[in-house]
Amino acid sequence: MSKKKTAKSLLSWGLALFVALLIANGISFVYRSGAGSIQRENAYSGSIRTPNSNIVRASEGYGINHVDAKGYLNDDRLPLSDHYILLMGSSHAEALQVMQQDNMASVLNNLIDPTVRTVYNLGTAGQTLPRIIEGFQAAMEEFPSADAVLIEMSQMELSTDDFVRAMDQAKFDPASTGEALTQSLSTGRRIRNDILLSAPLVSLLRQQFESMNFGMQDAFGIDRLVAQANKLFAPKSAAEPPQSSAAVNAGATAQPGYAEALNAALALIRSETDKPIILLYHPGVGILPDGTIAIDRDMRYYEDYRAACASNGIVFLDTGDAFLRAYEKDYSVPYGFANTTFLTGHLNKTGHRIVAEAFYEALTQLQEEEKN
Amino acid sequence: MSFVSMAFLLLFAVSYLGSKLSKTREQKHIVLLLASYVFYGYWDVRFLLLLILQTYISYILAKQIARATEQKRAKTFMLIGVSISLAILGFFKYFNFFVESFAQLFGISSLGTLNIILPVGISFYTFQALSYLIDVYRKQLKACDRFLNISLYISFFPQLVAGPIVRASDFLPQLDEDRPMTRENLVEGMQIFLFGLIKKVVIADRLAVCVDAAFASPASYSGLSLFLAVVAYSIQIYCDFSGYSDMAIGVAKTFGYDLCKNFDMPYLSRNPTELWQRWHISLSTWLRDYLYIPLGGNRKGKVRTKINLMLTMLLGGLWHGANWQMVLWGALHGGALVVHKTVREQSNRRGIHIHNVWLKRIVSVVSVIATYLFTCLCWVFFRAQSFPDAITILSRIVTGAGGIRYYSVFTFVFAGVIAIATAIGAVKNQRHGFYPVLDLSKFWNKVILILAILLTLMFFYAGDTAFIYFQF
Repeated sequence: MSKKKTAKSLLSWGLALFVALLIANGISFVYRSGAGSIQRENAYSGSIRTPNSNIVRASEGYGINHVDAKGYLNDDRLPLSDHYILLMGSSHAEALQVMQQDNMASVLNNLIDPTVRTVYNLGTAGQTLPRIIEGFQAAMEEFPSADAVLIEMSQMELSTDDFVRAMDQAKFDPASTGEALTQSLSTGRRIRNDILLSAPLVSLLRQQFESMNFGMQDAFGIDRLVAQANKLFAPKSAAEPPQSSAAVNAGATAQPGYAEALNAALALIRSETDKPIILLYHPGVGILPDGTIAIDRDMRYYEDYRAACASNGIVFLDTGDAFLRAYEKDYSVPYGFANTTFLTGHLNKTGHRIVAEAFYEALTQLQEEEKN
Repeated sequence: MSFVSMAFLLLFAVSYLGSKLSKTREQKHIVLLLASYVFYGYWDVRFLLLLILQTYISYILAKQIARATEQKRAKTFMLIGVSISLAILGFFKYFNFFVESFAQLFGISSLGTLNIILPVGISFYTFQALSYLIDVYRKQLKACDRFLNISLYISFFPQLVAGPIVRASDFLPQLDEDRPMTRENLVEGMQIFLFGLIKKVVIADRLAVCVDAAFASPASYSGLSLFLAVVAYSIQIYCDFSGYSDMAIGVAKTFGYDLCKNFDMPYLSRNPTELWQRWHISLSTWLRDYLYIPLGGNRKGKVRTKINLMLTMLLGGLWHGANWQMVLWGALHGGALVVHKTVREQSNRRGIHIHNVWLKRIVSVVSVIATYLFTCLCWVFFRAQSFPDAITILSRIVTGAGGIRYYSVFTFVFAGVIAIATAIGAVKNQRHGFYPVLDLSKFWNKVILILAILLTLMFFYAGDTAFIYFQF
């Protein structure tokens, strides 16, 4: 009798767990869902999103985005035009945090011609300028009909060594495209992807546990004790606390050889296409005590970028002033969301619009110049 | 050690197992005392010595008070005990404040301040020690013979660092009883703990993001954004502090002990007097019994009653923090209590009463809203980084100033959650809060419990998790 009762109780708890998991999983679909990345080599980017899937992200802004067959975030309901513009960039350009119709690629597309798809978004999280340069040749081979290349960047403090390494570019392999990778997936991998797509709760919980910082990492205080002991017994010079990164940046000067490495890298990509290249820098924005905002340009490298772009026939854009004008007009700010904090994190809808308008203006001007 | 840590989970598991395996009541108390000292010493072992010293002083002096044959002698011992406790608290918490204020008042450039670290929870355990000494002096409680028991009373880890401020007369008798650690206690305690955890890591910590941003640079945000940030703070501080109290009550329950209720749906209060019967109840009743009543309470005439109220709230404000903003916060609440008392006296004297049921209801709703808005006004001074910032916030709200429009999604979501929970409490339990402890023999209750755990894991805020009231 007792065994029967225990079994019944266990069954009841098991069923309850199953029902609760189903409900929680259902909620995850609208909060954070969509498979992760597929790693690859010999292509523009080192990773792509799972092709032909949808991604929902609500932890910073709210975005529902479609991943096309190539593994990039593009709304492929309209076929890609024969002549199109490639948009390269990092997580800002990838734009998981806003709805697909509000990202810089879509807004720019609508400004150019809303009836055809002329902007192809290659935005990939972590794709900084050296990585873009490294994959530039492969992108040109994968997308040979590109009429222009737009590059979005938010960070100028990049390693000189990374630029030097980027000169050894990835060689394009057609087997690395999203379509080819999808075809060649093993059954096991396919099943794993399907499970991850249908059980977003798993990746949500994994992300939550990875971001935990309330003592999980040093639950027993051993790391802290070791650190204290090290500090106590270390020689005085070694025990001195390191400078914070902010302090380092504040007093730092530009890296030696940065301008030369940047110039060489931009010359390389210039040599790989005769189409227009536009490099857009969107600097950070900070709040001042009086309530106004200030543009936080990285002046250590700013002139290097302007000079390198000018000498290589690349258009250099800076949206800093446009950010200021938007704030002065109606206090709108380019970064942050109503579920996080403004002026931190990724570009929001306003930021994407400003960037898209800057690209559009530059493209129009180039067209005018070409006509003349 | 914070409740929201793996270290605490480990400590709880070990101390629960140790207590469960204890054969005698004394063994259980030893296990709990050791756990409490580990809990406290985890922050800084030096302050553990201070806690033990405070305990020892209370223990010795309470015995002297009990032994004293003359009232005068008992009073002397009581005053010595109170003075030492307050001197310790005063040194660690108020020394620099008084030195700086004195220097400012007399235009002295520098009197020299000390680099003092405030021991966590000192305001809480000092008040517990004081209540013990005073209760023994008042003969409301027998002096405790066992050092172990008084040590456990003052340092019991669930409520050690942020309350509730437990009365010796409530807790010491529980130590003299066999308090079983039953499965029912464990289930109930864990559910109450989970309830508090959700309030803390899902609601309060998430709201802290928008509150911190708005209060850090109020000149940048629009009046409406700042108003919403103040509303968010009112929810944050309630969920943060009452969440801690819930967790403390829940943990204590698993060990078989009952701690007093500390919050009772405060934002449903219809006037300032009711607010303080619902907010931080253990502090407000402490201040009433050990400060307001000894000052004369309402026994020395109307004017003196109001002076006593004002003094009590001023000191209550100072208890929260050694700065003039807290004093003003206390003064605002004290002033509101005085105004409310005066209005009530006048309406009683003139026989002004509302008889119409609908009018009564409307007045009741308006009173709840007015009391809530007043509480929010006070929170501005409590939370703002400086007086000028507080003034900036209030003036921008009042003038509807333009600025960044920051309408945090979570303010609306959690305001809705709190409003619904409050409405349920109002309807189901005659305007009083209750713990939604589930009967786990029912299938859907099991689903709800597991879902609550899953939702907590899905939506907890993984950033800063410090409890606001730890600093007091």
